[in-house]
Amino acid sequence: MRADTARFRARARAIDRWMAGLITGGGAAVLIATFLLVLFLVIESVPVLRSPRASSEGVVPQGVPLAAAEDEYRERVTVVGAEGSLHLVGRDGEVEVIPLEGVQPPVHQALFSADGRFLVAVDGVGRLHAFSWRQRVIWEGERRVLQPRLRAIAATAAGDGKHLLAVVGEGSSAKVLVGTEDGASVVHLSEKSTSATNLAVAGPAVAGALTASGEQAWVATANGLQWFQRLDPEVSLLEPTASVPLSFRPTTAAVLLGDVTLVLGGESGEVEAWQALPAAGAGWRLDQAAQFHGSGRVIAVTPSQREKSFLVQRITAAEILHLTSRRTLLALPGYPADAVVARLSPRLDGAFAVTAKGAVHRWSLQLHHPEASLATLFLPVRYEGYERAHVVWQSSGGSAGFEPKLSLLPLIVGTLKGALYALLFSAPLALAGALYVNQFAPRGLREVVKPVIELMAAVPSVVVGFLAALFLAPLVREHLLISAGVLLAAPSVAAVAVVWSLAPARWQRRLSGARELVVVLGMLVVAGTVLIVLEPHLHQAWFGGDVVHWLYQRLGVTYDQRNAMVVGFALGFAVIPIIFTIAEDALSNVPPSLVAASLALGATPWEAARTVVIPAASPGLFAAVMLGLGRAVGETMIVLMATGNTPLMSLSPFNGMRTMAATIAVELPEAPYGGTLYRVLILTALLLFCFTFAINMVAAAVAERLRKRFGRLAA
Amino acid sequence: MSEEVRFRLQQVSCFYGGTRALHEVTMDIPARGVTAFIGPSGCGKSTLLRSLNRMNDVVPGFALTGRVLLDGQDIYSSRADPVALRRRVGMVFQRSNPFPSSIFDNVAYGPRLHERLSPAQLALRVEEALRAAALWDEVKDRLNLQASMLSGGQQQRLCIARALAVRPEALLFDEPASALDPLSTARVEELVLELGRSLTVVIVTHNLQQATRVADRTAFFLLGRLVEYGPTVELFTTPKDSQTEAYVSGRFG
Repeated sequence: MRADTARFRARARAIDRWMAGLITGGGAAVLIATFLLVLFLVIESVPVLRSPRASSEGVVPQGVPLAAAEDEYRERVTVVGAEGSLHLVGRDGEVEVIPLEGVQPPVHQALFSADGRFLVAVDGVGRLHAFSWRQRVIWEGERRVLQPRLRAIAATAAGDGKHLLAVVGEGSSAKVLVGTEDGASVVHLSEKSTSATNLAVAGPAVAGALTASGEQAWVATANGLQWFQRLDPEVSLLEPTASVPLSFRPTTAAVLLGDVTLVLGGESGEVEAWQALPAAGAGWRLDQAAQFHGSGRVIAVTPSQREKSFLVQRITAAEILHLTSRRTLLALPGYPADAVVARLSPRLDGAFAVTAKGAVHRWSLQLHHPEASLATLFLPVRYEGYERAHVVWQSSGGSAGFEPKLSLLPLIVGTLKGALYALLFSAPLALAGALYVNQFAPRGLREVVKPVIELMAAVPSVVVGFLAALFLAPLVREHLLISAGVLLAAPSVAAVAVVWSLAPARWQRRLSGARELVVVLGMLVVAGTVLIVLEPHLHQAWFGGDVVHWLYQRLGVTYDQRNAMVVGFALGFAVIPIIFTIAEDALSNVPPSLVAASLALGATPWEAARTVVIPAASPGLFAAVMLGLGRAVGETMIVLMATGNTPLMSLSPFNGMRTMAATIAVELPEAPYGGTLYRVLILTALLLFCFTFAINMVAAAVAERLRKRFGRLAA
Repeated sequence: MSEEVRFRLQQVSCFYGGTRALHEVTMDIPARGVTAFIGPSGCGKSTLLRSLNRMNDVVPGFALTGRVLLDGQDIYSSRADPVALRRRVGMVFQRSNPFPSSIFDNVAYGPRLHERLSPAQLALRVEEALRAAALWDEVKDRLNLQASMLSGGQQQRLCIARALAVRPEALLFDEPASALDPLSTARVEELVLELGRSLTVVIVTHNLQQATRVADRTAFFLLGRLVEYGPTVELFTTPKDSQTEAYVSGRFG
């Protein structure tokens, strides 16, 4: 018998220890998992702000250079030599020479297009030659071999006193922008024909650039900038579409990827970005979009073919700048003072420079995420084609030249707006409901209402979102007046109640408990019926038949079908059970002896609730609202379906929004792993985590303070 | 005795749901002095006490028949206002239940609800109530102290002060000293005696000695019926009923 007891005790102790270990381990695992989650978010998002890096790679001597380009794999730098041939300089110093057919040495000028696929040269007898330049990849077993292919497109007499400003090409035709002593012209070269369009420029062209499409030209003279919108081989003389005086002497120009922005370099180191914008009324105007600081004459600007960064080659230095973030990403370290040509590699993973003696310097680049900086993530940015700085979220576009707009502010504002409208709708209802059910409702009602409201939490949010988007949103749009009436129902009842409280106590006593409830519900039914019957007439009488139209006409308010009102309603549906349940529990925890004390002092039930129950339950009520807020901020499915996902900054109840959670849900599956968008989205997730974490922290801190104040109540 | 009557109970029966807790109690409680209700647990004495200021109203299923007259007015008539009634008839509970606020705010709670007093008047009222509850000297320097910081006996006297601050005509005590140590009990008893000189005081107690010490009249209840009611001395020394005699002499309880 005793042995049995001892064995039983030992087993009980073993189970105790085992369970204690399990529970401690489980708790620790939860903490560790949360920590690891945050760690993951930090590790994945922080690189977005990493500074770009460049490392110098190698120096290989060569001949006298005029122009240079590099292949996609950064295997060989192609240098145009004055003696009329291409020198393909490999990393190991091996050089392959390809003669430029039909070119009479010495070559005076040569120029590669921005993408490195077209080459123009002016030879010793003044002829202008255009070539297409490709390097095809073929595989010899495992080995990659680049097969160069140089093809002459056309040649034409260039004439004296002309200098090459820019070249672009497409297939077997090319356009060359040539500066002359009294202006500029565009030479259209193709295998079939050659023609020239003279550009009406005031004075000799100093610098110029062509868009990649070949449709527009920018020409800078010593004191002005002209923009030519429609280049056409058939047109022999073209007037500028817009022009503007310049405050500095330009030296070089280049059009950035996307064909929108022109970057001008200046005599004293100026670097400016210019864009053509629609002018007030009609036509176009040229507008300075950005200004970069730096010193030293700018020799050349070469745009990246990947994004909005560009290399500025100065007289003694070369820097990589970025348009969107308005930053100097880096200066190439160890840049040779006698460099003649400096360019970015096609994939933006490197840069090279060729010195006057023909030495080739290479750099490996890791620009990481140049378009993302704290400024572009959180401050207004003037994007291409915008008049002013804006905060915009538009992470992807149709073309390679699209400028990603990654401002997190619209998402943050959208998130807070959604949560705010949800709380505006749900917090008063849920708190008042909890108070009513807990303090005033007939007993039986509480037993019904509480489980029903808790059941609301069981409705999957995708169902709520679906109903809100496809059923509620059109309904609200169609019956805006009734919707407004519904929103006003609770305040109206409250107003009636305030008026009723002034009535004689004797009348009030007649209307208590269940009778009160029936009267209020009856009032609501009557008011609702009246509203439904009156609505069409009100529409006609006051709003000209359509409230939405009236709002726009009279108040200039735009109305989106999926808007903050609908979201507040739907999100509120998800938030109400949380607030109600926690608030009701908090109210239930107020000791009945306190209510009894208050009533015994002659307080009315409402006075007892107001002066004793609510203050005593306030930590719990506050925590309820904060947890509701946390739910509203983190909720994904409902906002995804019901907000319209337009990243607007408007706080109007009639406009949609886009929340952080919905953006992550929509865009993360499509974001290339490790890319800027991916990292920015992970950063958004981290921010969201911080948000909810901060909300919970504040909730806990305030609840703790309130609890201290009403200390004894915990018991 | 031509004493003024505060409460006149006429065939009062109380029910909780279907269960009868009090059976046709008829008695008069005079306006001055202390009246004690005694009897074993479940005899209905607390129910009767709570019927005097309608604190039973909040209990689900409670019903009362018969008439309870306060100064000649039926407090259960449809025209009577329970809130106004409770202002006139205060109550002190078994366990002290101060609000989770300062001493001052506890006492000021009632006056703030019912009257518009200037801060100075309010301070005076609070002092007056605290003096009447014999607590003033102990707390006058720390009125802003949390009420929960006081000792159990002080808290109970604070609850008495709180009830006195609305200047009630009657004060009901529901076993006010049952959770207190002997010293605190003595102080509360003193207070009850003192208050009985100016107010109608009704006290429910389990403690027979307490009844003999504080009460002018005592009512003995058993199984929901009023068995005997009379001057305390008579009830304890020469009870008319044998059940009363058995109870006061400690043969059951």
